[in-house]
Amino acid sequence: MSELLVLAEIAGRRCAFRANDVQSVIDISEITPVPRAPEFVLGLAAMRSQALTVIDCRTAIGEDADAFPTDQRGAVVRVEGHSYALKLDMIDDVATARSAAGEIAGGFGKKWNHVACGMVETDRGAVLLIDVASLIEGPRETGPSGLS
Amino acid sequence: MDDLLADFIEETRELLEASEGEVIAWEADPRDRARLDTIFRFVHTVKGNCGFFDLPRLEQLSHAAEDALADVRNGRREPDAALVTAVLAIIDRISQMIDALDTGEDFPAGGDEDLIAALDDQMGDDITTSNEIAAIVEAADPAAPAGGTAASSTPRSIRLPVDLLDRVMSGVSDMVLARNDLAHRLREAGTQPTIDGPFERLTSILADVRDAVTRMRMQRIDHLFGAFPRMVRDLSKELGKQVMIDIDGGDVELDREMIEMIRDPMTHIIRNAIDHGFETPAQRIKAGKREIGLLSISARQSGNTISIIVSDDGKGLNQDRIGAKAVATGLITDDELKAMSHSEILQLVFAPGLSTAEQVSAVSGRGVGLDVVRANLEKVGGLIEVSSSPGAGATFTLRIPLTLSIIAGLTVEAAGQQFALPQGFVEEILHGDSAELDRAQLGKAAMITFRGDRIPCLTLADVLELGRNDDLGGGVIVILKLARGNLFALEVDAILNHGDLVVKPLAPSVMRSRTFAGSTLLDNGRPILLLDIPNIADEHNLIADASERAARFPEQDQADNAIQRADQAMLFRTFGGARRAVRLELVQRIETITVAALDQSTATPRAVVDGEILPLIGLEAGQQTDTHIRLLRLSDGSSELLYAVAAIEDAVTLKDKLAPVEDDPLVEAVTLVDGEPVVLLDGHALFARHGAVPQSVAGLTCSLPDSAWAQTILAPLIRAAGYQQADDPASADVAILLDRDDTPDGARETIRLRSLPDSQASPDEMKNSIYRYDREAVLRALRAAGRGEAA
Repeated sequence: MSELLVLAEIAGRRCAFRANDVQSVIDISEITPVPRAPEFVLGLAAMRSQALTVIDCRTAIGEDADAFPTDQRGAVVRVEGHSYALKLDMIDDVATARSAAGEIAGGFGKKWNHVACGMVETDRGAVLLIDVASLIEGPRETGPSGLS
Repeated sequence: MDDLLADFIEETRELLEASEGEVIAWEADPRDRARLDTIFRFVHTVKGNCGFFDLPRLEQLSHAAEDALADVRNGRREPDAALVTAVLAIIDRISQMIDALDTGEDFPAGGDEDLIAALDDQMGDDITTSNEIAAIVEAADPAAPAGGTAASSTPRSIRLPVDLLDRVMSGVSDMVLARNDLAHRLREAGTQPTIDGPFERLTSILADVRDAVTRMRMQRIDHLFGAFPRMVRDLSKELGKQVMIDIDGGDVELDREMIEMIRDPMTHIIRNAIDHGFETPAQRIKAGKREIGLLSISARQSGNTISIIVSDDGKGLNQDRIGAKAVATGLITDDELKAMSHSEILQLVFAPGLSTAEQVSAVSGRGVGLDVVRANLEKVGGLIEVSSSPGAGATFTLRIPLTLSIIAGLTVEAAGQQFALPQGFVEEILHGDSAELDRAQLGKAAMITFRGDRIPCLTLADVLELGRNDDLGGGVIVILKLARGNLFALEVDAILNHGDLVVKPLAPSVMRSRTFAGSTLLDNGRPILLLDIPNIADEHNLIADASERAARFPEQDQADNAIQRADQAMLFRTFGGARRAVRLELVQRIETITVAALDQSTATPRAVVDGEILPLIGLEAGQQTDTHIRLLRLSDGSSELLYAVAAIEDAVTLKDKLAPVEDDPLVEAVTLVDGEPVVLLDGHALFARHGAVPQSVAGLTCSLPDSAWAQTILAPLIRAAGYQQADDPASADVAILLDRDDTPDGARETIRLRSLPDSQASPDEMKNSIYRYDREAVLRALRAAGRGEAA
């Protein structure tokens, strides 16, 4: 249960990633936009000689991108051989998990359910543990956004 | 050969290492199907490879193990401890033999039979414990004491994990970026001789290293193809077949790792083709084909994939048999089969456990080959498909991605953003404001004129939905040519650079738009996207069928392809053995007719095709021995002409200069195709001299004598000559009478046959009738009747 978590904020909500999933935290400076890509794909950024796909976590979950400011830094994760940079509101701290990820009654809300691993208790309080592989898939297509 | 043997030893060792864990797991649970399959594939692969190297002992051992395991796979035998021990003993023996092969020692003779016997089902009754088997194994092991000490000789090459190569490669890329950054700063600081000298040296060393690292991973596919001619030769000899191999595209470069990954699949497919695809020479002649089968292998790079096409002109896949077998093995249900298309049924050959071969041979069979092939290819993100037409052969298309590849590319700009496109597609670059382009806007589509043809023109900013800038005509037109020869134009704002690009794969969410094939880093470290040209063309419906091979069967969708055919020609061999070409737009179809449909009695031979009489050229007397003749049906729109050919080679693009020929009126020019001279026929002269508007004979009818002989023997003959059978002799165009039948009233033409051979007939009978088995004379008479001449 002493798993390390990286605490962050997405669309104003406190959440966490498994420290094992996060390879590094980089400054995302220049982004090459990708025409015709889904909205949550901001573009490509370079990390050393590697191209990262930059994911806007707010739109990937289905939240409004304009309502929440983000900082320059992004978490680098690797899923199925591809590297992604996750653009977050902020990256906060590292904390130790005090419990395993668990469901909560009523769920986390329509948009958040599919990216959620569950709730985890930490020293800093309860946080939502994010499943990186689902996050980079983008929002579920469940009718017009803005509802729920 | 030594190289190949070394490869074989290395490969087998790797397989052994990889399957070691599987063997142990299988021993723990002999019913574990997945482990069983892995071990089965191992022995199958070893068996296949040994056949190629003349290693009879290894082959025997692996064949025996494969047999036993095949029984288990098919449920004919229950795996038990005794079987496991015996198989493991054989695998150990294979490993020892491989060690001995490597060090060049002779492996002590004997002992193999006992090991093979230990596999035997009956042994289970006599020897109940695996300990006893172990005793046999021990006794049968002459190399046991030496086994441990046989050290490998010094390796001539080393194998490196690909990860390590990747790290070195990305390290070098980083170094190049750091150098560029440094160069930028040095320029800003002004000339500093003490630093500039060493910096120049660093730059050139770095360029060398980068080149070397790049080559470390890339290899010409020749390296793989090089082994095939020998393999094809040996195999076809062994199986009593005659197969010629034709290899194309050996200069395509491929990731070394990828070459290793497709080695086995390719070997399997070729073995299958020779074993099951090609008929024996006798069967081929009977089927009207050339005695020697043609196996053609070609490789082509298109964007981010490499296509390897293996096609044979053998008997093709039997759709019914595949379907029936799939139902019989429970792979699909009868209803599912009924709902499947021809192509879907063919793809079932890649399902595990399906083999339609009637006999299991040492070469292939058992249905292991193709499921392994597909499994191996899918592991590296590749695809395999098969297409086949009965009697005409089968074509396997392998598509493998360039996970990491360096390609020559252009960097272009559109709407202020940079993109790369593979140089391989670029045919020509034109200035957008050139008057020659003769732009035309047709609805939403734009066309330009290129080399006299109108070709579609896309604007990159539109394709990418970036919003175009309005000052049209200031851009640059890139003429792109797709693998099938289709041309289209892409307008970009500017061309910035060209050079080698290291292409990296894109994340699935980006790939989904089907617009980009990968990403690459510019010298300044910025990532840019590589355009997926074939997909863009496909999305805009610029190609009829992107997956088919270059217009190999030109009878299909000729209207759609009229544009692309401008520079293409059909290459063929005449009966005299000469290599000729005719412009593809003249070729309407490829026909095969029987000799009976041929009339050589007049100065210009004629033939009946689809109920029409057409002039035929290209046939020299006495040169066709087959019962079938292949013809090119040429058309200029109204007139038609048949050209008899000994063999059709391919549709080719005429890239080289056409050198006009003055002394032969039927020849337009001589050109080079793949380095060999080819005579291009003059379509104008051909039609001027020989062309004719098709005459229909379909309306002509012929009545037959009322006898069983006429219905069974004569009827096919008149149909071949282009007549339809009529019941009433009075209304038929031609009435055939036998012996003393009465001439019917109203018959326009009559042909009288008689039962007596010429030698026994009276002069009067000779004059008025034809011996009923004198086929030539009967056909002559029928044709003369068709032309309206008296018989």
